[in-house]
Amino acid sequence: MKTWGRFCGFLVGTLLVCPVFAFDQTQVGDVLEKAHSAMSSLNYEGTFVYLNGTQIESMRIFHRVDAQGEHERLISLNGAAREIIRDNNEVRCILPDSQLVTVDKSRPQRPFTNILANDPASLQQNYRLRVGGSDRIAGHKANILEIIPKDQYRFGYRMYIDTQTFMPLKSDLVGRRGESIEQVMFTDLQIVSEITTDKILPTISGEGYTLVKHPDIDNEKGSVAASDSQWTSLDVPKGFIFDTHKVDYLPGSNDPVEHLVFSDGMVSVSVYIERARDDKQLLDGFSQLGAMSAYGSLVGDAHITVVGEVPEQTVRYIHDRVKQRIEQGAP
Amino acid sequence: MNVENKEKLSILVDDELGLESNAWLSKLGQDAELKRQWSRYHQIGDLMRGHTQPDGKLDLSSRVAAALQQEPAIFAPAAVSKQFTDQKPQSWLKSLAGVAIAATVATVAILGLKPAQESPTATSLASIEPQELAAVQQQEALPTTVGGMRWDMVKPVQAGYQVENSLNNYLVNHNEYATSRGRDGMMSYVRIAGYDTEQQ
Repeated sequence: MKTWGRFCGFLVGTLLVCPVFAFDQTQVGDVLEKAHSAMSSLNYEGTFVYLNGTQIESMRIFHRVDAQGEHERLISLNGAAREIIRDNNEVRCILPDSQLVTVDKSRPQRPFTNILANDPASLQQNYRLRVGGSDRIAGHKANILEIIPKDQYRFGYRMYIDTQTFMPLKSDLVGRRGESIEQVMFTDLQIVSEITTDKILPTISGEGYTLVKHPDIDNEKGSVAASDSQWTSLDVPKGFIFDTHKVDYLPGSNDPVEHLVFSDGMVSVSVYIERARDDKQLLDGFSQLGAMSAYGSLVGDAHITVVGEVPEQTVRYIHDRVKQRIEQGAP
Repeated sequence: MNVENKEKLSILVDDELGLESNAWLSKLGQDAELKRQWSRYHQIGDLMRGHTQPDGKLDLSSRVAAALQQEPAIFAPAAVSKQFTDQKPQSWLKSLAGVAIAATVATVAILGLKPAQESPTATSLASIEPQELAAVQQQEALPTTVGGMRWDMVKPVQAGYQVENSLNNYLVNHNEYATSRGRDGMMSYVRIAGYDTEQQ
């Protein structure tokens, strides 16, 4: 009931302020923030399709918020019934096709990066924000927001936001030439008062599967905040700023990995630096998965991998500067 | 593919299938022909709404190419390609308008129809008559990749799975830091859930 009350309060508040929200150019940042908040604070279930080129995947999602925080279950409806269960503590990927369960730590999802919380205008330094008309998605009326990059180091976004709940109903990731790179669209979405517990529990037991855990789940090893990072001054594409420097452990490995995060407020790029090992092959060159780009190479006895939802030149740029730093013996 | 399937798919694309949609989405995952048709309807839908334009991946028929070549300079690729670049608002709008018109032309060429009288955004695929859909069907098949997602490897000679597994671990870790606005949650693990370990 508490959740229902919260939802009603949210709805009433939304309806009182703007029965069907309409906005102008100056409110785009605010609407984006509300959209983000709707996704993490509402109870909902729905089916959505993911399109990457001519590739299509359909998925079912359940999202619940209760006293323990957020719970989310994602199930692939195509091919192997992969399930991903996420709460405030861990992310569990159950992969029946490879008989594998991976468990990693989840991090609190910040509403926005610190830069944006302090200065919403900073987004507009890197992107042009536009109101792009309206449409109807999965039976819901939507307003369209366009987030257009000002340079070649980031992608553009076209987002369809529910006029009543602010839930993003469709999101297109758009390349420099206006081409659609990835699309995610709800084909069915219900915002409900309650998501029952059975809907957020895995349907696959994972019994007999290989279990690969993040070392921090079971023992004290884990992420350590790196203080006085020497990476803060790294030359990165304009608009990106240093965000995090940690020592991480990835599932199935006891080797520490240095992890740097740079963000432009809309998207972030991770740099992973780990000690090279003869028995472990890592990426050499460029690779991509949908809109996710990766670039890796071996520098001396260190291996660098840069990943992010950005164009190839961004991961290359950051990779090259990190490589340069390592070659110069720092840090 | 039978007419009934095509009609259902068309209604599904328009989000009007209601309770049946889940069953159809599941069918999509198992039927390569349905997937191709789905892809085609979406591309047509996007063209109609002026949200995209033919790019290199869309091998549109020679009729489209011919129609575009005959159009004034506003349809030139350079004008279209600036849609998402940093321009003054006026020129950006102008090129967007160009894209919308070009899209209409392309759609019309594909369907062999007269230009729709209504706004492109109001056009519904469900409203297209079966014979018009048949006309779409008769066009040359668009190149379609069917199968799950994989990391696109520049050097396939690398010890594939080991490299890909490490990239997936990085991806899961990175997702927890990703701050894509409004795409969190929905997008974060879609790539993992849709990842295909079978495809070579």
